[in-house]
Amino acid sequence: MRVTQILFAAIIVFFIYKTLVSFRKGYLSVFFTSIWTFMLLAGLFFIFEQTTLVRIASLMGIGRGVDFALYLLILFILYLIYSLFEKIQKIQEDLTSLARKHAILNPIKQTAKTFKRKTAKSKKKFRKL
Amino acid sequence: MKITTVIAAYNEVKIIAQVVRKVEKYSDFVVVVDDGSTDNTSNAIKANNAVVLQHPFNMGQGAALQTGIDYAKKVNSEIVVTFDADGQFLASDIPRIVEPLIDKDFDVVLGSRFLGKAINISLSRKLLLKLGVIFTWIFSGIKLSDTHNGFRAFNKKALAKINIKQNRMTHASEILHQISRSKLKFTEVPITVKYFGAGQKNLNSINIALNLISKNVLFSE
Repeated sequence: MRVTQILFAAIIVFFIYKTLVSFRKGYLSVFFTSIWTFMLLAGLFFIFEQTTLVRIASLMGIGRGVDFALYLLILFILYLIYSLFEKIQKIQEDLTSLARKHAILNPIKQTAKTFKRKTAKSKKKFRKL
Repeated sequence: MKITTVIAAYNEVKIIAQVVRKVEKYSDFVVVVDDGSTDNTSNAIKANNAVVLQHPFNMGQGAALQTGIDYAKKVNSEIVVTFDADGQFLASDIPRIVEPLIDKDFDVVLGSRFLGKAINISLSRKLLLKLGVIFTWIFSGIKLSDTHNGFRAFNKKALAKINIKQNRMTHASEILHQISRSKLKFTEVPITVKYFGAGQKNLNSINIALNLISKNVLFSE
């Protein structure tokens, strides 16, 4: 067993621990936790079972096992960016909706009386226009 | 016809009072949405006969316009005109922009500085706007003479169909996209835009285009 294998394994175990702690605190969804933990466990497995990784890679037409792992990682990171973008969009929409409701319910200057008065005048004004 | 003019304002303390004063001559009601200004824009409007809605923080012109439109709908406005706060439009163009809604049965009227006048417009801005026209044509299938023009008028039917979700400047393209998708009857009318240094910078247009590509192409719903 190489030092790098132990180091990478320790990092992955730490990531798994952090993921599970975040899940218990309710920060992560079941879906995300499952996918993320599965990816980390797969990573952990392939650190020690590199021959399996090479075999899968050659089945996919990729020469080196490391390349295969990197491709998978890139795909996962892209998915992560997309899902983060979606989440940010959703949060922004919620925040906008909240701020909008607040603004509409609390106008700084209410001119409802003026509105009624001016509306009555509007027909006259538009005939002129 | 109850005409409400919606003005989205962000840090326009110097000119907003003047703009509102001019606009209210041609509108039944003026709704100013202060989009989280840090320069007391809201206080400057107090002297005028307008309702001021204030966003607790800056969200962008698109968000501010939708807030104003929602309020206008709440007070039963039949026509909503959107107008920029920087004083580059002429309030006297309001009757011209609402006229096709009242007399010609259009749902949306879009102001066009290229059918009208664009005073002091720089060549680079003109080129960028023309690129925007091509861009809009490709993405929305709408052929216009001007695009990203904040001077528009909507009738009740259009107000029910249009819902601005893009908070920042991309809302201009979003509105056109929604007009096309909802098959709203629209037309352009000539208006005048006077440039005097304020308003959108050319660099922002590139930002808008990039934003639009990312939201429409890469992350379309």
